[in-house]
Amino acid sequence: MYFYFGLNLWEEITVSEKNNLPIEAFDETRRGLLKSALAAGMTASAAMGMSSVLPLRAFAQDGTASGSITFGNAEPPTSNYWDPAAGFGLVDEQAASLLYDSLLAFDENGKVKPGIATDWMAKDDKTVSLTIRTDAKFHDGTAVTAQDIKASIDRLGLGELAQAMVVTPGISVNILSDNKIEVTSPQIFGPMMNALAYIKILPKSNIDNPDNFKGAANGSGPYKFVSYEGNIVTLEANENYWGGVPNVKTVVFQYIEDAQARISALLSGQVDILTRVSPEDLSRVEGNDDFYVTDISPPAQIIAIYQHNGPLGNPKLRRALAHAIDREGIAKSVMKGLNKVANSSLPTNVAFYEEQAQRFEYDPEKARAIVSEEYPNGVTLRMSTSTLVPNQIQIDQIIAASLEQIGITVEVERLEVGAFRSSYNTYDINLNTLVTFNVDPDFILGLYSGGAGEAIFHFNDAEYLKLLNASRVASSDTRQAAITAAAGYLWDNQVTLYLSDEFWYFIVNNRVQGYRRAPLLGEIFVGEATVST
Amino acid sequence: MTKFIFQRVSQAVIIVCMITITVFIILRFSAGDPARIKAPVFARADVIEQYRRDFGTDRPVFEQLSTFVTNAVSGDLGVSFRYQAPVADLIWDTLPKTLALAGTALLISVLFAILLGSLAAQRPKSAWAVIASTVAIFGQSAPVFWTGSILVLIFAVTLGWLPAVGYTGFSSLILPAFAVMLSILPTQLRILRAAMERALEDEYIRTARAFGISNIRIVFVYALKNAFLPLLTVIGLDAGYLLGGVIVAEVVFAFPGIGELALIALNSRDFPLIQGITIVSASIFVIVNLIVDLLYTALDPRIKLEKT
Repeated sequence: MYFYFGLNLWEEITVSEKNNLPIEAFDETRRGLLKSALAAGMTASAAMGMSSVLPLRAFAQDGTASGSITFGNAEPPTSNYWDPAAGFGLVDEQAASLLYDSLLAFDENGKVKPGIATDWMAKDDKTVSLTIRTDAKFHDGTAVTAQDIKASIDRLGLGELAQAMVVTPGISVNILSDNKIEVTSPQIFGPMMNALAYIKILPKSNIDNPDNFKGAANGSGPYKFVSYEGNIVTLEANENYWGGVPNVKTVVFQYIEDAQARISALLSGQVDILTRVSPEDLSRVEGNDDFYVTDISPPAQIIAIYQHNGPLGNPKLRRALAHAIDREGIAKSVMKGLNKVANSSLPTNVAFYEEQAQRFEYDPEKARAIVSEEYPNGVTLRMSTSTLVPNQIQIDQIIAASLEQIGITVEVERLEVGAFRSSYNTYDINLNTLVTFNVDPDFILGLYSGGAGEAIFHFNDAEYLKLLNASRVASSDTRQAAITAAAGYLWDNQVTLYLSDEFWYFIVNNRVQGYRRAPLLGEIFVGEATVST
Repeated sequence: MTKFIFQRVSQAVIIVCMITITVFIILRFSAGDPARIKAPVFARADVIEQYRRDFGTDRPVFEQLSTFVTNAVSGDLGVSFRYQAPVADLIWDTLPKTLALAGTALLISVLFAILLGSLAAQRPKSAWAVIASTVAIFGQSAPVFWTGSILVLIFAVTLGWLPAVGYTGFSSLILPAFAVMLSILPTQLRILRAAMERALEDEYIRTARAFGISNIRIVFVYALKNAFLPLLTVIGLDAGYLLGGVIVAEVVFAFPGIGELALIALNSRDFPLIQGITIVSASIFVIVNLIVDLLYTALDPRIKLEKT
């Protein structure tokens, strides 16, 4: 039997008996990924890393860390302010996943395992009790205490921080003893355990004095912060880590803005791993035995954001657009077949994913008929384009041309990336990518509700809100159906244009052996790799 | 001389102030919202509003300007939105690397221009003249990002002699300096060659030859002194160009200089950092041109510094 934090489920069992969330749907997707990986000709080491079930962090047995791994990234950290809850960013999360621990943790399949908490038990449908380890220490030598955990979680419950959206407002921690706490949500919150596996535990002293986050990070994770200088973030193995010393002594995240410079740095050996590479980069290493490729990627999708305060507030028009745009053609030609076409409002590698029954096949005639009926005098859409999304200019040109073909006038404005990012929701339609921070679909589904839904899409739908809330309070038996219903509502009404998944590919130098990833943004397993000199 | 320097410095201060205020106003009114750029797509409105409060961009523009001017006068260029660090510290960390890159490129270019230009001027129908013309055409035609990419492909990726990206020491300067040098060499080469050809036709050169003075001394001491003046003007202009021109090289080579810092600042609408870099760059440009003017009088005492 298993435990799931939700309505009607309550089995008071401890995690040592069974500790995995039921994400069968994700297992199928993972098997699908494994198949595609093998079909793409990846090396056995990468494929093995995806299929084996290893302990959470299998670190150096002899207590000695050695070697260095350098990641080449296309973006820098969002700031030199190392509060992981203050923002969202790839490099921020890459670093935070190594600098900090959470109460729980994710394994390679995105399932929840012990972290700072050694075991846990549901007390009722809103409260979970956890036992915390006593040997965890922050990098400055101070012990991780219940007070630190309370401060880290309570502040998100207050709703003032960017990452407050991963929890329910009002979530709080009650300290029972030095090593026992209770986390309580004011309402039933299905993704609770995923949230506890994501929220980083910080020193209360830093939370009380936020200036401490400037230019330094003090976590309890397997790596310590060394420096952020000249586009390079340097972390070093924590020799006193409770989970054992990592194999790799130094982890470096290097920002290289130019795509050509990034691939040159990889080919010349200056960086070891390139993140989120393009199809062009993949072709540069095809057949090169010095490198291998892995595609274990966080759930991400390419969407065209619709603003519902204009013509695209009309669901018939949105469905017409879905028929007008040849998504299969775009996926084959522009994306070189590397991304799966969307058949749901969720990415295929998210937990509880199911393909939706309704198909929006490419049918310009059907689309034209809908537009003519709804808008006999014509309709105009404003679109902005930029270079934020890979191949965006090409994709946007195809979309604009497709819409023109069915009788929609499209006014396209090309913007510089910064201007595009700051003004996207003042245009009717524009392309964007959406990356999630763990495999639970609640994060994505939540974006279409409340303040986020208003800000991103000008979307506020009472019917959808009912379905979303139902998915959050569903039991393990019914959660799949509830999530499919919520995702299906978004899909059937084409609340936004779901173009495709965005699979992230990572090119790895062969000198790094045993590199594996979880379907997350962070690099929680990098310390387990070994580096040959 | 003192009066001249005082006047030029006063003008420089006014010019830098006007540039800074213009940039400040343009940023505020047309550059977009830095809070929206820092926040992810799915950020709530209250999070974005908090960023605006943190950045101070929720206050009226003229209040922001007043705060900025007051602080700048006392040397405080503000705190970077992105790095959460003093702007002055960020600039002083990166400026020396850019100056090293620009200075190296300029030095190599001037040396090449003098050597190749002098040889081509002395022997207009020789192989040296052909080489000089070819180098000038190539350098003028090939953009920095292209030559940089080719240099990386050959010397870093294929041969593995030099680093492809970043700054790890003097070896990291070589490829980007060479790429930048190729972009400024053509003009310097042509100017020096033309000036040297004119100088070598002067009567005092004929007299010097008649006295049996060596050709090397004639060319590189006597003729060069006169031919160098036009080149000095170009060097002054190139110094200004390099401040902006190295941005491309810094991006291609991921060189952590002030050019790349400026690009990051622009992309993230980091207003204090953009303003700080503007002040520093404008000041450097003005100082370099002042030095060039002073060097004129040192090279040719006939030139008097007059009121401009």
